[in-house]
Amino acid sequence: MEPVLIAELIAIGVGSGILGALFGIGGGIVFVPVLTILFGLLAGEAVAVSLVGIIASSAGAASHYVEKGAANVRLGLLLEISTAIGAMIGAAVAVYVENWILLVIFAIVEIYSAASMILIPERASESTDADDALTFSYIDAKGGAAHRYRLSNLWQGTALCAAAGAMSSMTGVGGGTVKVPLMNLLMHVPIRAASNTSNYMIGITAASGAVIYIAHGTLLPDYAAAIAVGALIGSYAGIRISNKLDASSIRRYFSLLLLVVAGVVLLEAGGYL
Amino acid sequence: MSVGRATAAVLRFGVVLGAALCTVGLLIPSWGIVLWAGILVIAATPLAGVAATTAALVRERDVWAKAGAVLIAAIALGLVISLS
Repeated sequence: MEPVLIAELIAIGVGSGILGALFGIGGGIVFVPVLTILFGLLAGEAVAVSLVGIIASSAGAASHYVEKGAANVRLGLLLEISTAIGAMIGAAVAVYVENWILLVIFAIVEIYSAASMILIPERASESTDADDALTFSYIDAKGGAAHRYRLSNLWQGTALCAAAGAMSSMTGVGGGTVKVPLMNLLMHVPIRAASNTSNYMIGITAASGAVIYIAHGTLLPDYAAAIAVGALIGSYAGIRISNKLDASSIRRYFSLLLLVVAGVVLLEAGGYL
Repeated sequence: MSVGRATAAVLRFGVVLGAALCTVGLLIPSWGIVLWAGILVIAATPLAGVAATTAALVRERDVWAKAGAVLIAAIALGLVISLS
């Protein structure tokens, strides 16, 4: 592989890794169009390479956030169960549903989530009962203060995560851009804890997919390795940027990101990508 | 070791080792096996992280350990179905 190509792939990985660490998104929405349009990879090859990049970014960021007590691994485990089940159901029924319809629904959900995050102030349910199994705390990286919150709408959130998993497996997009608003708006998890928890979760989802692509021989190892190295570097840079931002800024920027993602998805639905 | 520290240690070790192997594989193209080893280590890291989280929760007799056990079973089932 040419050194220039390696450098380009590492640069793309760095950019996506920063976004991933900041917002808890996987980065597939960045990787896949770039790899297919700019580098001429087939869609399946781009998705496989993207998954390895997502894992590197997610694991790099999650290792920091989990160690600092800024992510909720218990909630992550629970929501990943329903995501995995939803993904399996989605894969089974995908052949019966038109892809463009799903993409338009996905875009509407993203726009609704963005509008809600802009218009509705964050509602974290405070709790003073530390023994309650639904009460958690997280350390805010900016300022170092511990915040306690109580999960709301646990089962509705879990069920919707299954729906998000199904949609993600049917369309190839989703992940963090659905789970973060879900945790923040419905389950009242503070935005920083939600995005950090998402970083832990998306790596698990991506790893399950990557194993399948590797077993089927679809993965281009050179591309995946370069993207992964860049994504890890980017995730460390993203952590440093995240530590300087306050929660309201993260929420505002995340809303803008959702609108961009919705735009990209609508272009894909229209056949322009 | 706490749940957070145990999980973080596994995730950090896996992703740094994997990325280091990938870097060596990219620098020395004839060492394709090293490149593949790096990718496999990276791919396995989040799953090892789930195992580490669950083991730490079990050690602490945390009620959420069941979620980890069910997730491991769900991932295993999903992989078996997908690969068969």
